[in-house]
Formats: sequence, C-alpha cells, structure tokens
Amino acid sequence: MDDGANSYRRFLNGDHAGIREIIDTYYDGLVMYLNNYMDNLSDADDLAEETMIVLATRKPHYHGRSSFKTWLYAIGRHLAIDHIRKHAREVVGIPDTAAQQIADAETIEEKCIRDEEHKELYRAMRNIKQEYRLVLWLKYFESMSAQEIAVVTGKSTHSVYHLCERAVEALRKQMKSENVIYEKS
Amino acid sequence: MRSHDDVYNKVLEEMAKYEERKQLQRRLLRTRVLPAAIAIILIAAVGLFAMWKSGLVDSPKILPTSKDRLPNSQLTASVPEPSKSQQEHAKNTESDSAEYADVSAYKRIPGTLNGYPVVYTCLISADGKSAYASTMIESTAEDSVVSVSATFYGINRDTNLPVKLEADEIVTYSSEGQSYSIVSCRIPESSNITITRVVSDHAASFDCGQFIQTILRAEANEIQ
Repeated sequence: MDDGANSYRRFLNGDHAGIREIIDTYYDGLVMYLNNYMDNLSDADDLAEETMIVLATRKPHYHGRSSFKTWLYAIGRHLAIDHIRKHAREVVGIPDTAAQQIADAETIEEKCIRDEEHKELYRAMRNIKQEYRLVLWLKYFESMSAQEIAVVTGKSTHSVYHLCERAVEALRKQMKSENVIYEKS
Repeated sequence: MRSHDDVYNKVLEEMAKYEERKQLQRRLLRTRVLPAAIAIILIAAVGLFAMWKSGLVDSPKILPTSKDRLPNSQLTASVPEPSKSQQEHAKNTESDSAEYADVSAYKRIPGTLNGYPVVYTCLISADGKSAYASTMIESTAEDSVVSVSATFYGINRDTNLPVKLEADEIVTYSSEGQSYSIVSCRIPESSNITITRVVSDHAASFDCGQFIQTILRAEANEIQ
C-alpha cells in the first residue's frame, strides 16, 4: 500500500491529518495535470480543490487496483469532464488575457518545476496539442507508466503507447524549432 | 494557485457542511417523511376497510387454478344405489330414449362427485355401419370441472371370446357453466365385435344387452 493509500485509510478512520497529507503530497501535481487538461490554471485549481472535497466528503472506495495517485487523478479527470460538459453551453465571460496566461504558466513553473531543464521542456510542451501535452506531463513529470496513464486518461494502454510516440515526435519538432536541447536523464 | 492551508481549510469547511446536510436529511426523514408515509398507509388501510365493510369493495376472490384442480385419480364418485322410484324413472327414461333416438339408447343416473351433483349417462348406438358406445359425466354445478374415464368390453362374434376395448375419444369441455366429460368407443361393423358392457370408473357399469334389445326394438319400430 503506497503512502497516499495509507493516508486515505487513516482519514477514513477519522484522522484528519490523513487528508492534509494527501493535499500536501498530491495537490500541486493534480493542479498541473488538470491545467494541462483544462488549459486554464484557475479552473484547474478549482477542480483540484473539488477533487479533495469529493475525497473528504463522499469518501469514494479505493480498491487498490492502481496506485493512489492514478486513482486520484482519474477522479480529477472525471470532475474536469463534468465541468467541461456543464460549461460547454455557457457564454464565455472575459477570457484570460495572454498576460494572465503567461503569469499562470510562470507561477506553475516556479512552484512545481524545480529542474531548469524540465522548465524548458514544459515551455516547449505549451505549444503542442493538449492531448500530447497531457500524456507527456504524466509520463515525464509524474513518472507514470503507460498502464497508469491509461487509467488516468481513460484510454487503452495500446493507444497510450501510440499517443506517447506521436507526442514525443511533436515535442522534438517543437524543441528543434525553438533550438532547445534536452537529454532525459 | 491556492496554498495547501487554504485547500485544507476549505476541505474541512465542506466536510462540516456535508455532515450538517446529511444530519438534516436524516432528521427530515425521521421527523417528516416516515410519519407522513405511515399516516398515508394507515389512512389508505382504514379507507379500504371502511369500503369493504360498507360493501363497496368485494373481498378478494381466489379463483381456482389448474394447480388447485384435483387429478383424476383423486376424484371419487359416490353413486347411490337407485331407489325404487329411480329405477322406475330409469325404465321410463329407457323407453323414452328409445322413442327419442331412432337407433340409440341411453341411460341417465344422478349421483354426486366431490359433493357436486352430477349425472352419468351411458349411451350406445348403431347405425348399421358401426356401433358406438360412450359414457358421459355431466356436472351442473357452476365452476366445477369433471372428468370421466371408462373401459369398454365386447365379444368377438366369430370366436365368441370376450375382448377389452380402449376408448378412442376423450372429450372434456364446459358450456354455459356446465362441465362435460365424454369417453367413447366406436366399433366398425366389419370388426365383428359386439359391445356388451361399458364400465365407467365413477359410475356403475352398464350392461349393454338391454340397450341392444332396445335398439333392435327401436329399429323394428322404425321399419314398421
């Protein structure tokens, strides 16, 4: 049983410190993942918070079939899908300005990405397709396996492999055009 | 991005609200919904009882099903020994039947079956080509279903040996509240067999000899 599962079990047994540990461990990563999904940091932040609230109030059952993080991200993805569906017909208000988006991206970089090379990689990822960005984020920044990515994204492992290949190719082209040299350690 | 403290505080706040909502729901269920449901059920029950008492609603009727019907083996018949008057009546009936039917004769015996009044009829007829014998049980009681079976005995005219004949037609039907069950046996003239006796499992057996005489008499009357 991983740490997240342990914390969740303690929380279910009435220890509030368990949910605090989950927030400390997974919240930032979840926001990053959802930001890649939503293309909006503010929405991603709201959804990550909602994911934690769902976890704390509805207390869904964790079967342990995947890692706790994978399971948590899958809950976040489902909430994001619901959010997109609910707001699909709404008239879009004031869109985030370019300046705001840049500021958001910088905040994320500052807060979540410590490694300078990773920061460059993240910058390059911003300009590729959202679908590619999502799998690359889970693969390189969250170190998830193809099986775990499949659970989080709701795709088959086979299509995750193909998606990763295409995403890496797209990223390579993007980095080449930006003259970024990156070697994954 | 929100700080972890903010998120944690928000989560605790939502947990408190959620618990409060759940408690409210439980309280509502306990104090409003359940009593209301019980009250509705009680009112409905009292209303139905009152309607039943006043005769507006019939008590539930249990209709007989095929499962409720007794198998033939369990059917028992009691055919009382005919009294003198009944024997007289039978004699009259025989003669009546001879007049009524040109080439057939029948005998009717009243009896009871499972407490229901029934009439057993034995009929024998011949049309020059074949002989025909049958026994019938007829129930006049409403919704009762009757069933009869019979064995036919005859004699081979060539060998003079007795033969046992199986029924070749069994009919059970209901009409206008009455139930009928008929078992019959048809013997072609070419078979050289004369029906001598019809034995019904419920009714007394019928000796066909006298019927045959009746038929012959009826035929003779017809020719004359």
